[in-house]
Amino acid sequence: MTVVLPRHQMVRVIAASITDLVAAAMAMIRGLGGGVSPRPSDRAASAPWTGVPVQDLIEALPALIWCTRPDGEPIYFSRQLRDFYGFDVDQKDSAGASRLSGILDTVIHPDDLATVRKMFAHSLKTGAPYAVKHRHRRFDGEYRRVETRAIAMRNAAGEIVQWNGICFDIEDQMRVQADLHLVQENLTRASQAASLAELSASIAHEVNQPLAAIVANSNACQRWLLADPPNIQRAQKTVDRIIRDANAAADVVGRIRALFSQSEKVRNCTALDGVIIEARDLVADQAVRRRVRLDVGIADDLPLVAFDRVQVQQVLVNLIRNGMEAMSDVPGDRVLGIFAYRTEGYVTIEVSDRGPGVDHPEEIFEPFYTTKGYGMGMGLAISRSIVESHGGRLWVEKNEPQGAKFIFTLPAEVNKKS
Amino acid sequence: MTMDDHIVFIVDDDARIREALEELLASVGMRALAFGSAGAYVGADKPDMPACLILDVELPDINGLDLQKQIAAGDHPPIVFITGYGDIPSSVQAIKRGAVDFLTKPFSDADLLAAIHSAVAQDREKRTARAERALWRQRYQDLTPREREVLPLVISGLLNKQAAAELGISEVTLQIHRRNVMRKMAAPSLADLVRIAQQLGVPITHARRAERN
Repeated sequence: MTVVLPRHQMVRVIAASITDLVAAAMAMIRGLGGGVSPRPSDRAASAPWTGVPVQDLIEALPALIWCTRPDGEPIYFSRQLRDFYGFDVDQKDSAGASRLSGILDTVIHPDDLATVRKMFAHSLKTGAPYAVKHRHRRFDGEYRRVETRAIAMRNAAGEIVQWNGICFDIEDQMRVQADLHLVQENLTRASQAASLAELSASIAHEVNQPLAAIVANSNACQRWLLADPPNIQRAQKTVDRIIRDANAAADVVGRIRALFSQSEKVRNCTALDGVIIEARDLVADQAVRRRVRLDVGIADDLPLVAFDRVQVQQVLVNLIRNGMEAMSDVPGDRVLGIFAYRTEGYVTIEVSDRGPGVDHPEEIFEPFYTTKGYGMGMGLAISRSIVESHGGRLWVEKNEPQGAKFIFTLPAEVNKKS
Repeated sequence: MTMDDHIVFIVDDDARIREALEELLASVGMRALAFGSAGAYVGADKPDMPACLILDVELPDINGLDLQKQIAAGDHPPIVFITGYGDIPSSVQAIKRGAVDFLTKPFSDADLLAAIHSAVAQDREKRTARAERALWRQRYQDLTPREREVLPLVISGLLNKQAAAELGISEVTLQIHRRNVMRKMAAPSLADLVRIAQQLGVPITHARRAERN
């Protein structure tokens, strides 16, 4: 799974702190007259405000600092950087290659090397500030992610006299961020997975109460009528109750429909492919566990559709899960197909499995109908309500060579076409 | 079964269910008493006769399964659970704790009536056993202290001679005590006496084998 990090915010924070550090370091150097390497042998001056030698200050900064000549040849590593790499700036010198090349080859992650080279060469050539995120190698061989920034230092005539750079370790932040993101994703997944089940539980309870009363009253009514002599009075009383409770059940169903239609307001006109991909990602783990291959095909020319993202996703997830569950006893290829394509005025989405197929293509959409040993039998009923509230249809066909194919349509937006 | 020899208690917070079930039971000639909450049921003065408790799982004051746990220790009628949303863990838990059945609403009258009949039959047996035990306990109370000393020795399988020696009395005296114990406990045979004593929790104090060693 690829985790896409919402990193802009974090980068801005880090960049700010790096800029501050570089600025501070440069201010110190500039305060000394500027344009020289802060090597102890070269300088023993003190910062005016503390009396501490600038060299000591730079060495003590909690950052990896380096300096190069105007042509890019490294001339200084701060103590933190020396400790990190495990060597000093002149220890990778070899005949035939520049010092810069030697160092970059040693410390930059092979996958990032080309980018780093290109960006640094660009900065050297143009004098533009350098800023790259890459991995570099610690003395013990571990690669850590780092944000490197460098700025050219110029003399009074505006000529570059030196490049000063800083590497800020962002490995831990990235990991925390990635963990956080994973947690958020799991939470979303869990809540989305739960909502249909919860919804069906509460609907079930609401509808089952009057239904149970109706059934019991009907049985009683039948007995009063079959009694010898028939007890018409009591039979009449139970019939009155049956009518009352049946209306109550109808009200519940009406309220549910109203619930779905209310959400029409929040329907956005969007392409469907994003939702299909999301639904696929939601069930990806489960597919691996169940050894099901997800075969997804989305046509390029899908028209825009106005739909409630969460609801349509629930329909998709519900159909996909049903399909995967239907294949749990299939010994051979477990392939679940999800295809979306354009039909006249509609977008059609198919979810097909290679399970045993469906014996009762209409009954399965009725509430409380289930072929599983568990569950409420509400998933398909709700799915159909959702699709119909969007002006579409949901039905099932035979899949070739075997299994079931659930198909639903959503009306395309006539005004706008992608 | 006649109308008066057993009763069905109904606990459900939904008035529609209560009246529908009362009506259904009335139509098959059963007495029913309905309550809107677990508290009302527990606090009510209920007739003492073979019964069945139809208990809704989702109750306003306490979950039906918790009520089952609470009253498990006492003598309560067998429970038939009814629920609007039957999940597997709850039903397994309920049945493990001795519920007769776990019916998901809406249920058929045949299922409900079958469960009620089986529950009432269970309760009848339980009550008979309970009454028998109470009788035995009373009879045990009526034994003299000496007879209560003789009983564990006799059911442990000691010979009269051994039991007499144990108590420091003559064999003839022991035989008299033993006959009185059998008569007072209304046990036709030694085997019956052993069974009754076991039910009463009288310990077997001596193993014969130990005597031989």
